[in-house]
Amino acid sequence: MKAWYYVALKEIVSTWRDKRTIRNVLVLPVLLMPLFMYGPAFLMSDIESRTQAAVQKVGVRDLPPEVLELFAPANLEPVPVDDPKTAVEAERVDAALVWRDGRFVIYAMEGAKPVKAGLVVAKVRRVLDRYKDELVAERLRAVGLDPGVLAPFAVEVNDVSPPEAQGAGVLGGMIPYFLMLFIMMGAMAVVIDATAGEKEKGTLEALLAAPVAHLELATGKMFAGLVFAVVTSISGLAGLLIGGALFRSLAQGATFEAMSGSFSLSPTSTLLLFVTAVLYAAFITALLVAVGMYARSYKEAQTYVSPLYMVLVVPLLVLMFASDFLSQNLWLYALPVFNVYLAIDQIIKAQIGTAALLVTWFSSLFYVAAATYWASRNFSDEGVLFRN
Amino acid sequence: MNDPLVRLRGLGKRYGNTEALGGLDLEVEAGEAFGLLGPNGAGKTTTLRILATLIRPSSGEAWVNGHSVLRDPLSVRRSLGIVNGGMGLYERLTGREILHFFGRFYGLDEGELEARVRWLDELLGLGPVLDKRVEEMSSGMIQKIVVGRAILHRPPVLLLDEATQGLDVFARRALLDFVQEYKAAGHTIVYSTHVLPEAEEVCDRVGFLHRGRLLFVGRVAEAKERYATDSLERAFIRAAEEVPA
Repeated sequence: MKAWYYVALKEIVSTWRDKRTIRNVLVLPVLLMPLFMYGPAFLMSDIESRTQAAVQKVGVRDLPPEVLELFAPANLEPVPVDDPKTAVEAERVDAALVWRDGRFVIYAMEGAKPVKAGLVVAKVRRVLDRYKDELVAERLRAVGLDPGVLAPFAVEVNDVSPPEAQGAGVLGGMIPYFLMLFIMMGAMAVVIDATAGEKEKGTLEALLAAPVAHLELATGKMFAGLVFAVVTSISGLAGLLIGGALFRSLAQGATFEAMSGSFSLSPTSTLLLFVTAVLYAAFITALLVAVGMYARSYKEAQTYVSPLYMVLVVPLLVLMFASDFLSQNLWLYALPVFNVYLAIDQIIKAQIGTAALLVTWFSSLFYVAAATYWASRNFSDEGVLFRN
Repeated sequence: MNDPLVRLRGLGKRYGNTEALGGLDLEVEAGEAFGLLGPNGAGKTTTLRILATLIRPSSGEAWVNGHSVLRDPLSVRRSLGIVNGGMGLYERLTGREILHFFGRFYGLDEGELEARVRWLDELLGLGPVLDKRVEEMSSGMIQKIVVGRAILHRPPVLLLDEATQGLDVFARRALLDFVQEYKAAGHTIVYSTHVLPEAEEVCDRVGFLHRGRLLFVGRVAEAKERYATDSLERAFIRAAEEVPA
């Protein structure tokens, strides 16, 4: 076996035995990421379905009897009140509706309780819309007109994008971000300890004095980081997918689907995503090895990595708002980091072209090689190794 | 006379505008324990780091076991082991795993590795330390594994740089006894320290290193005679006082 293999194996075993790291990097993301990702959508969906099913009290004053008749079918209970504002503020009713000076006025705690008040107000608005429709239809018929004149044509929008793109939802858009996050978490768990940690613990000199080429040392440490980056990403994404399925089975209503989407990948897209993510992970790991070698301690390494994290997030922000406009420019698939985010976005939406994919992969290979060379150089640079 | 196992010719090192080594010439013979003595900042660690190929000289050259540190660093590394006072170990690996990890770099297979570990066990008294994780070891135990790691491949040259630093009295005694045994077995040792009585005990010859220059090279008795004192420490101080400020 080559020396790089033993270096990688040592780093993997050493990291695997660090229970705290394993818990933080492999276990917690699997458990917590689905909660972060689907929790809000599930909560919204749950509140909405409960609010729709439950009967809310609505304070009423001076309402026409025809409006009051529409309350019961809408799961609303009219409660006569003298002062609607005070009744809502005192939470005796969930909202209030008053007919005054030729208009309906709604009172609700929209600022203080935006979700619940918003849902009740929506119910009241639907009652009023129905009353308005009935009133308009009645008046049109009174002058001999068909109520259909108000809807001379219908509009239908058909989404012709591939099913993968239609179902991507929020998760699809967030996959590049999560991949970056998981890759960073997994790689950092190994690499910082394998570089700055070696310096801090005084183990680096013995390793450098062993008859091993510095390229092999850098490659071994990178490979160990890459293994953890890939494992963390797979377990993190699996957690998201399994968590999504679990929440979906528990959730009711369209709100959850609208927010979370029904993300799915074909086997081909999964393979393309995997190769692209591995190349990205190799680049990030090599960068971390190179940067980690500058640090004299674990703590110092973390201060170097934080700006790197920010640098990696910026292209994601650009992509979130502008991927539709940028995806056709082939040269963007050659830009470091950005190329991977763009390619992953397009793979998830089943929109990636062969040329774009090849440019992404070959440019990524070039960046991996450049970052590996840099990392290897740092193992030989005494200014980096013995920096005071 | 044997070829020297360690040879320095005009060895110089600069860190920016600071001269750490000012052209050292030195030869250490096979089977000799040579003490490189000097205060902190004298250039001892720089010299040993150049010999271990961790840093490159700014001028001159050095050879270990006939291999140039500049042209054949991998062969140099195969020919030496290094121990310094600040060296640590991988805390989540056991002593045996660490020895196996480093042994593989020297091309030792599993059978040879186990045989070497048994040899180290007898030589250093590793015993139960072998299968303990480093995080569970005392500093004395850690130092035994550090030494074991350095000599696992039976290098002809062993570099010790302030190796007793931070050790308690028992661990320090064990290390000094080991150095004498290892020398008696015919190995070459370069022993760098600022604790001069240690060098007096274990070294055949010494070199006084001060501000990057060798002021004296010779036997301990010669140093005492030349500087007219019965203490190696006083001999060093007198040698240093002769250097213009």
